[in-house]
Amino acid sequence: MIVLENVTKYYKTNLGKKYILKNVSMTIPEGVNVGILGINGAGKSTFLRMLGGIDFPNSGKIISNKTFSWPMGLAGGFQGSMTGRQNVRFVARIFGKDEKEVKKIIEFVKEFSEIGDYFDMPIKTYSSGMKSRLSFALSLAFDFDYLLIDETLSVGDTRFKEKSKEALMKKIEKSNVLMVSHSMSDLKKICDVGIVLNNGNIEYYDKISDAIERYQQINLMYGIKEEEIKDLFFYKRNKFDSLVKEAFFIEDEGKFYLIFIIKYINKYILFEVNEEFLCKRINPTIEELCVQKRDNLTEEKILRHFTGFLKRFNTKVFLDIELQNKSDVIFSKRKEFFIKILKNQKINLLKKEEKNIILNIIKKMEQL
Amino acid sequence: MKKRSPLRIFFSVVKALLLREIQTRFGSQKLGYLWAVVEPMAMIVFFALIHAKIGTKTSYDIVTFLAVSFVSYNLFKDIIFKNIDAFKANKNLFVYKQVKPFDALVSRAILEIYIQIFVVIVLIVIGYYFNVDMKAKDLLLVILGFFWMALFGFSLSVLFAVLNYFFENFGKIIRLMFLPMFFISGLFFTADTLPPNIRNILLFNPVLQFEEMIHGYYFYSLSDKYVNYTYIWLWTIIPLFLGLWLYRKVERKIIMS
Repeated sequence: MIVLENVTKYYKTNLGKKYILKNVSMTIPEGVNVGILGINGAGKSTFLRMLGGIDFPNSGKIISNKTFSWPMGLAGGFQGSMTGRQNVRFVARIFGKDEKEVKKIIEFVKEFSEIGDYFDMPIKTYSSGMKSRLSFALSLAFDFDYLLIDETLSVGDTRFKEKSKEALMKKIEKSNVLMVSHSMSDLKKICDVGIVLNNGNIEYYDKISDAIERYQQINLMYGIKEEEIKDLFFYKRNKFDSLVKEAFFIEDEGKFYLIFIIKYINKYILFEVNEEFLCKRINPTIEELCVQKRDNLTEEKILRHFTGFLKRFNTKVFLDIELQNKSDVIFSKRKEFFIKILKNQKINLLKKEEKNIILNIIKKMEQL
Repeated sequence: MKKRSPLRIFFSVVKALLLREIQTRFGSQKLGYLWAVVEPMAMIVFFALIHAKIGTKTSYDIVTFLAVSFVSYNLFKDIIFKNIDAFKANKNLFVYKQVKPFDALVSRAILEIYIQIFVVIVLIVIGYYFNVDMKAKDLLLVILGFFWMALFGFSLSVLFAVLNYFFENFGKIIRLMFLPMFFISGLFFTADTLPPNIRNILLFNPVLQFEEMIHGYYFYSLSDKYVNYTYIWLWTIIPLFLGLWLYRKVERKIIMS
């Protein structure tokens, strides 16, 4: 059982306080698996972290005598200069395991994560997928009353996904789950009850399907803002550099498309954006699109980075074309520029269906 | 999973952090251990040569004197220097709710104590080899003095670590302040040899008093007559409690940020 007593949690922003929870009291009953829903920025992850005891409300109390895992799939709990094995050993130790148990945990994680020889290499040499797999395997190695899952079911390739789902299902026979996910099918399969975070309020639903319905309603209300998408791609932070030079976002008959111009290699791609992509929390997405500035960039590396990124979201790519004109794109003329490059395409070479989509997009852009 | 008492969690976390700290500091670059020994030895040789050149006559063995000074001073200084940015360095680990920022301070301080014990053993072996007169007047009190000095360093480090977390340049200022400390803390002289007016000013420096105390316990010809015990107790207790009080107020902020 988890009891929330007059819990208030907010962030200070330039526009004042942004509330995640506003004086909320509720009880999550024993023995149910809970799905947590809410639009981007509603504070689902923060809520999960508060339940797990690594974030704290500004006022009020969260009371429970259960044990909680750390948010699963979170790759932040590793030290880059140490190997996977050393990191796993460390976590096993803080949970007070003796050396024999530690050994067992290490063996399990090594086998489950399937990262092979990388297990004895520093974490900083891992790809993000390997990190997530390690983190996922590590959280399966312990027995918690509650597993906190923050969108981690989509780790690795299809086979690994299946395997981790299976392991997770087996795990939740003994423990319960508190999970944030944008995959409605996962939520339906795993969770019994649902919590919808909305504007500082918490709405509790005895049936997960009711919660999902409510969430979809809210989601429609808010829609998707282009600004948000833009932020995502022109993101810069001292050490990172976005691979996207220009992006254009367009909606057509309820479908969303994005055009990227990829930096350094003068290529652009047009692809369909699906729900999974849009719902992904912004930060990890940004990081996946960025490269560390000091990395030596080769064409091959960039392309690999990108295809990996697109594959992860199951996006449908329509165009993947080399830019003719290598001159820089002027920001204010973005629209014209994109229309031009789209028109320049040898559209007739495409399949009919794809051709229509692109023509529609061009038309739509001209109307804007 | 079985519920553990807070104290047991604290111990297992400190132990895990300690082992991890040892691995990161000494695992990849084996020079870590070497440097811990070489640095004080270089200092000892350097200042012993200066003393020999000037030709000062001391009632105590100058090499032992320098060794005692540098080991105790390094213990004190390194606890502070290592702890001052311990929160930032261990930030990643606060995703495990068992790990509290304070645990990092404790484990780093313990590691510094281990390192200096290791240094002392090496120095004793070398001392025996060269037939240095290392006999102490009251060994137990000397050891106690060392631990007190470590506690003093830890007290300051708690306070500094909290302040450094919220004021970015605080650590730099502290490091800067430590530059003159090396020369005014009685590491290669005794307070007795100073002119009285200078001595009275320098005795405000608690580190000098700590060194005087340890030297007084170690050497037959020296005493702790310049040590004001109330003064150094206050220097130990006030920063500790102030630091802990501040830490309690901001612990959650440190974990969340």
